Amino acid sequence: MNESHLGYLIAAYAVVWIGVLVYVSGLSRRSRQLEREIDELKHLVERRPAA
Amino acid sequence: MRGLDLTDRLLPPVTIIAMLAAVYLVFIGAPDDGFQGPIQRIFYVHMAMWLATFTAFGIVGVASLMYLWKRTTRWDHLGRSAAELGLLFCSLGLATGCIWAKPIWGTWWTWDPRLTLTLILWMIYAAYLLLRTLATEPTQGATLAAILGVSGVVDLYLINRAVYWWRGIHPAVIQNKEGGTGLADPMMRAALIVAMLAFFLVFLWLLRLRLRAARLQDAVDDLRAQVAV
Amino acid sequence: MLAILWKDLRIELRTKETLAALLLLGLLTLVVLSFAFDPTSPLREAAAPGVLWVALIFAGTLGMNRSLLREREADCLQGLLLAPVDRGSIYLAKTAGNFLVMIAAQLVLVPIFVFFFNLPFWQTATRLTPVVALGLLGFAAVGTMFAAVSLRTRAREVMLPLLMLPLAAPLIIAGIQASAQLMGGATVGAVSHWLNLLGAFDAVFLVVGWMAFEYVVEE
Repeated sequence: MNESHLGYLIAAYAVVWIGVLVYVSGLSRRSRQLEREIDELKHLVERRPAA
Repeated sequence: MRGLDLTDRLLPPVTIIAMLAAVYLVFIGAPDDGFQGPIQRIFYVHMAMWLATFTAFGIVGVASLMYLWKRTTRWDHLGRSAAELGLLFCSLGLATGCIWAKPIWGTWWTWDPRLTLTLILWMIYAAYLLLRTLATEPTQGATLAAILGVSGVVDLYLINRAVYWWRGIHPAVIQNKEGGTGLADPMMRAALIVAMLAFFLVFLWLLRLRLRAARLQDAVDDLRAQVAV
Repeated sequence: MLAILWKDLRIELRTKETLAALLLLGLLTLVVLSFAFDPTSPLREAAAPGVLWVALIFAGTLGMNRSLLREREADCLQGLLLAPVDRGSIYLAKTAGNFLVMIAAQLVLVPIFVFFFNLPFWQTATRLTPVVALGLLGFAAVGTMFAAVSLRTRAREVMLPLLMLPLAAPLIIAGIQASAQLMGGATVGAVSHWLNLLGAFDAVFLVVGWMAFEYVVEE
């Protein structure tokens, strides 16, 4: 088997890992944003009766 | 909501251990394939992608049906999250398949029944996600998407028959996808099983993370409504 | 249910707008696709069934969008939903209406197709009838349901084909393959497996549509 085929092997695994990592980083960014938003909103809700 | 239960705590380390074992077995433990050489090692990750994809799309079907029946957001979240992950793994499965096909079959793509079926599935679930973003009202989007989710599963058998009959007329490019030797070596079989398990755990982990994000989104929407009142 | 069907057909007969649009679109598709093939090459004959089905699909998709959009423009759907008929019946009536309009368009389109592609008329027409009829029925069944779905989205004209065409893949494959074999001289019996597939598709999606329509139109 041709040596150059090793490139394809590396490419296949790289694609999978990069794909999963990109998805995970997007997901965690979204989650963090949501958590921050929840904190802000909770703050607003708690404050309201006083105001 | 933000607390981690036992599964959440155990899943990441178990997944990482399984993945390390899989990497070891795939690249070092398993021998080179007699015919295809090192390139055959793509097979392990490729099959792992398909296990995750079909589990995900199966979950979409069940969750869609349950949502139409029970009308609870839990099923809706599950359907949506599974569809997103299914599409991710389906894309990766197609990508690894193409990368494998190029050196072995000499072409990136052939209209082999399995490839065709997968591409159609990919389009159905891409439409499913698009439908949710484009629905004029979230709850309605959930219902409509659930209908599509059920239709997709119902359609699966018909698509399968159609593509096999269609390609049955022409000679198949390759009969045995695993390559001539099959998985003769026990280490190869071990590598396959562990790789599939490892990526399946990744899938479960991601699914839980995605579900958590969906619940957070719901909480945000609730709080927003409260603030707006 | 028959009343709804009758109402739709009467509107169609009076205005003939959908039918005219369907015909012109189908015709245009036939012409445009013909440009893609060298008229003297044997490739053209091989491509003929594909061209016919693409024309059917284009025209059918747009026609179906029209039929439900019309209800919406006049807010008729609301009225229809208030009427004491169950949703499944409304769906079946709409499907039947769409089916009949498409069949009517095909009565003109298929002869034009035969004429353009220089095919033996009676042989082609009689043999293609069951395939086209079953194909269009399935198309109407999926299309009516998902036209109602796409009405509920932004960008609804784009959504219908996006939702429907992947699901209709078995129908399209079966239709094209069966037509190709029939035009190649096969008997109807030789393509019975394709006809069975088309029939199964029709049955499945009529049932799914009948059961799911309630969820689609609910407020």
